[in-house]
Amino acid sequence: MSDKKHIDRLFQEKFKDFDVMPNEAVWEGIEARLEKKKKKQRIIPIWWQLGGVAAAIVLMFAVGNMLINNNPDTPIIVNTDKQQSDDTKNNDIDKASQKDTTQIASEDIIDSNENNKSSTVNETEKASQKQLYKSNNKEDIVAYQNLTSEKSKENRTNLTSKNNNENAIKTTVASTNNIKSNTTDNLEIKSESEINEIINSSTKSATTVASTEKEDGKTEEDKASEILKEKEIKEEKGQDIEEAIAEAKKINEEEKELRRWSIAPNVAPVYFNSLGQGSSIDAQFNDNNTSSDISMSYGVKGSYAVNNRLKVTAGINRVSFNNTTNDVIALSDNAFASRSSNSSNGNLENVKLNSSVNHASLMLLSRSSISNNTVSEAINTLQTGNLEQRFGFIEIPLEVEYRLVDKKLGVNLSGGFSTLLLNENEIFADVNGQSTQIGEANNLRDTSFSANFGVGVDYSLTDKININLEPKFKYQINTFNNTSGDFRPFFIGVYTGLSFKF
Amino acid sequence: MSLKELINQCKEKDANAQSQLYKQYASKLFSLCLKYSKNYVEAEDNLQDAFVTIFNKIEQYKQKGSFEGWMKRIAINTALQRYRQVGVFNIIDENTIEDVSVEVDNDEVDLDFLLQIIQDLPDRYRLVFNLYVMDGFSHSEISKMLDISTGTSKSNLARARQILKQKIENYKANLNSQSL
Repeated sequence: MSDKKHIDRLFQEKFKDFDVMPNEAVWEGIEARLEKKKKKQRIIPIWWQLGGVAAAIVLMFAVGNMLINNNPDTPIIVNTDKQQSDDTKNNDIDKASQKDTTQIASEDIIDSNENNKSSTVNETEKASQKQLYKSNNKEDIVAYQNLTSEKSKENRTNLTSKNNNENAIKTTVASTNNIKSNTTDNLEIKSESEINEIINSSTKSATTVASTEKEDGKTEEDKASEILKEKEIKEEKGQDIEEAIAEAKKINEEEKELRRWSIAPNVAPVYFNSLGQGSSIDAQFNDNNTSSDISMSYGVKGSYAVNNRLKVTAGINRVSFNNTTNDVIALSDNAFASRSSNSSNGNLENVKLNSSVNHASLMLLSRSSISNNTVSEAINTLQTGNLEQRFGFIEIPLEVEYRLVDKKLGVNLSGGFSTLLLNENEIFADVNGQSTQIGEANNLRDTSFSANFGVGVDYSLTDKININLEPKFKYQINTFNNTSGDFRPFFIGVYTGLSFKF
Repeated sequence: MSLKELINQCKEKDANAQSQLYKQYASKLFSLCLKYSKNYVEAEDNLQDAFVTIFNKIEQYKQKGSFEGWMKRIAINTALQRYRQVGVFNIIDENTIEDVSVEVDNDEVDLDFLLQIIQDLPDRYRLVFNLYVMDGFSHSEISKMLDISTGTSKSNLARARQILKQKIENYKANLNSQSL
């Protein structure tokens, strides 16, 4: 007989397994509409995008390496050597640990996995060999390839068959730690540091195993995640309203095409300084105080969005700096001209004086370089002045910008380099409140570069116009070809502007 | 191929993967579209729009939450979008009615008939009924999605139930009189 039931329940139950296959024509329609999209997408093949990222990373490493690492050793070779030696050390440990198995057991450090100890150590070893194999492969170092490829063949099979859970790896790490204590007892030859190194390397390789393991065990994980997903489908009814609303909005936005091109005029206050103590003008000014005024840079940049996150930008900027060396004494009285003959201080190392300035009659000295004893009262009473260097560039930045937060208020990281073309180069002497152009620097290169790094914030006023604020650090490379002391110039700018997308 | 791999390949606009994903989910999403649409043709249009959106926006799916749920939300939103554009949400009379418990006999009722009477509901009643009863959204969620008040949502649901109940009873009466 029929019983009464709520109408909602009736519909819910009836439609629970409701499943209708749509007409073939629907898929054809979808396919036709996707075709157009696909052609557009193909304009920028995936390897271009990856290439762009790779280039940026390589560039940053190259620059970083140049700055930090002055010795000619290439880290790649060092690494490989190290790995190989680690590998052999692991062999030693392996032997040692097999001997010590009983002892370790008695020491009660390791839990139930202890029994597998020697095998897990084997795996550590294999893992490190595998890692070695990988790195060799990448760097094309043929020397080790034969050795490792043989090993890795068996290791691969072993690894995949034996080691299908991550617990084993954890045990590996655990047991390696225990090996440490045991080997110090039993192997006198090994110094503490060597062992630490081994432990580090085996921990490293354990993680490598972990990652390969993940790939191997992918199918399993996927199954698990599918089960999870099925659960989530059931939970779905409790879907957050925020998400639903956001989704509705997203669909609105989805109608709009990604605007790929944008152009952004910008201005920035820039500040020039040096990381170390030093002078670009002459060695005697190395210890003098320097100061810089904040000057303005302005320009325009264009960008192309490779995808939602990644942008390539290029532009052109005018930038000029001044750098003032304080506590300089300028002597233009002929009475003192004789000093220049017996003093190297008379002509500055990196300054080409104007022809109008009489070489013999102009002396520029750092106050600190004159010892009070040897100098007449006359000089001591002279007022000190400043030496002001002004220089400017046409800057052509080429950068990659990665969007960290893609919201109305966005955050992005950018990195790249600029080509700097010298277009202004003057040196002034400011003495007694009077500023006289005395010449130009002869050590400024016409073309130089800078490595750039910035963090930017932008706010979209409309979907076409953004307002940007981007502090940038630019480390200058090769700007001067002859500097004294530790003179490493850089400049900081806070770039603000509007960007127009189209 | 696992769903994860399939999704990744769809992100790379792989045509085979897209076709496979479609085959896997077309029937599920189509039945959802059928409930939210006036008729079969409109449901097909919705399904097509929804899948085009899914394929174009698949890179926005971040493996958080169920993929099927994500696709369903797109399908539902595609359906809602259609009525937002038409502007039907504002043209139904707003006399609120009491929500009484609506019970029907638990006889075998033909599924096609039930679908038919859902599709025949006025647009907003149909949407509210589907969102609330079939897909478990709350009245406050529905009110935000359709830009109406919760009172209106409740009232719409009650009306939808009454219309459906009436139609089921008529249908049964009809069957009985035929069989007599």
